[in-house]
Amino acid sequence: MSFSQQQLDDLLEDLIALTNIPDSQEQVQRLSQLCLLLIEQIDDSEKVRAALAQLLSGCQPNPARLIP
Amino acid sequence: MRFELPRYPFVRPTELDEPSRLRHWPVVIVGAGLTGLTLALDLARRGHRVLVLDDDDTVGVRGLASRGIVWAQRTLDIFDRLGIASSVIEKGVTWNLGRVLCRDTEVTSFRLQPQPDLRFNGFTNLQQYYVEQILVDALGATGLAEIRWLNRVEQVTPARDDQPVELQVSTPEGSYRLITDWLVGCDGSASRVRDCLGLTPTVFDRTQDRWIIIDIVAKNAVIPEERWTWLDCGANHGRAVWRHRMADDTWRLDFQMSPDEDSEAAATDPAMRARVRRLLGESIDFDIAWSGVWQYRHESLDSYRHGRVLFAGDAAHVVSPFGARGGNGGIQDADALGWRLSLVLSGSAPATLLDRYGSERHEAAMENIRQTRRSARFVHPGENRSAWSWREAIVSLADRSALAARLINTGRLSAPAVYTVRRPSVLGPAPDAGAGRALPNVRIRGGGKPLFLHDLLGPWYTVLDFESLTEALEPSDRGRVVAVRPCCDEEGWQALGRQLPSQPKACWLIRPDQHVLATGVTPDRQVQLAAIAEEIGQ
Repeated sequence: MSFSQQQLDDLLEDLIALTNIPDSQEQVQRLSQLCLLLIEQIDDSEKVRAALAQLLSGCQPNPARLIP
Repeated sequence: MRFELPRYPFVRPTELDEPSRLRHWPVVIVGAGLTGLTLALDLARRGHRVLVLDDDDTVGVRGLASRGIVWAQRTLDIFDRLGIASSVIEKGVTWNLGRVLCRDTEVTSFRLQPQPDLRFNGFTNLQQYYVEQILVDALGATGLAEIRWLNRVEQVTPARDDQPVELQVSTPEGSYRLITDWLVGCDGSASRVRDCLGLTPTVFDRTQDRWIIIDIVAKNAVIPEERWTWLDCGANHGRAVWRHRMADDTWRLDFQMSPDEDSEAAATDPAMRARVRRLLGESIDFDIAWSGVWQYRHESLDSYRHGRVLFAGDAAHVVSPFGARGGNGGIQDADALGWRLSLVLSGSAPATLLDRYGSERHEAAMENIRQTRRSARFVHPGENRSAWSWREAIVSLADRSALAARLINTGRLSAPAVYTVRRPSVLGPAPDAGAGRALPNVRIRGGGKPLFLHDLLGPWYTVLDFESLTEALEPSDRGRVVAVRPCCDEEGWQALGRQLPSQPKACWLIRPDQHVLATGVTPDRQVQLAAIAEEIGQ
């Protein structure tokens, strides 16, 4: 289901509220949890890997993935 | 060509020569700005004598500030009802393409035209002083309104709810008093009427974000006729810039200033010219039509009715300009107040009808404030680190993610208010998807002289009968009944199906401000009249 503009704007409000905390560790925790929950909801490995690849395209390969 | 603001002459009020005679007006409007003039025109066209007091002697404000420039489709529909839309459109500039740039690269764009189903396109740009001048001229033509320039309200003495309000007014030639049944404060964000009543608006925020407007007339450059908004423009130290075209080949350039920038230094002629050249190129030759530094805040009175004193426009609520919701919101205030005040003035409705003006427009103002605060925070996250982080994430993804591009918020453009209306109980319960919405002004018949849905509406309530095939207009003292189908050609009927918020079936009850009161209404005329009577509190 696609988002209306209003729904998108509401979503951004909630995201800002989610991470609007002084502790940066806690902030990362919340974002990580959100990612995991979304991955679970999406339940589509290709889509999740494509999104990750988009972000990691300019980065060094993840060393953990290089372990034979 | 530089526009010279008109100077309206001070005319000595008769009260100054008859101090013992306390003149009585049915309604006095304080403030000859957008909202006050629109309201005055609406009331005059409904047959009421109106007095407008203004402490200035011109339209706009001194210094040729254009303030509002973007007039939304709903405003054009209201102006059409008041007979001035064609003048605004003829003088104005209709734009259709908006581009949003991040890091100097376009990340998203939107088109507002064409809208062949509807009477007006999305937006028309015109300097506010031109719109106000058109309103002044139209008001003069009614013969029912008097605008008193250089008349400043000094004191407001509200009596009980059932007694008139007394005003003390000062002029260059002395002071006088008058009384009025209803006083409407349309005197802007520093409202004198509000001060006189000791009212203080609730302030939601007051930002440190500062901008400088530099309106220019380009002499040797062709600038695309598009609305551009840069979120973080390299030519403006990585801060936002807005670019709009207005009438007379004038361009509104609005630059977000750096936090440490000195306002006075930024507003000098050399500094402004350097700023414009950084954006548009060193070779550009231009005149500066107007400039000014501004800040914004969000605030609203908690109630827009205080006995016999009402508030509208910036006197009632102030929003940041992102999305053009200030001026357009004030005009919608006038639209919502005019017919109600008229019914009360003529004794056709109790004064409690005006409470509904207050509640509906307060709700609309809160929605405007909610929307503009979001836009303002996206453009200037300030101390909010979380908002900064999300903005950075969105901007960095915007060139490759359509969703991120849609999250960029440089202003959600003014939309018609959707009111929470109460379905008259006499109509019985029914699903009412369209209730509260402004009726779209759909082209229902094409050809040489097209016909639009609003052309079918009367000055009061209108029943649009979508079932009857008999062309019949049935005027009554409270409204008219119109069979829509015989007025439409086939294309127009299909356009109605596309544009109306729900299927055109049965009868719809339309308010005098063109908002839908109820859909799915019975064709029984007696029930329809009873519904109108219930609505206005008879």
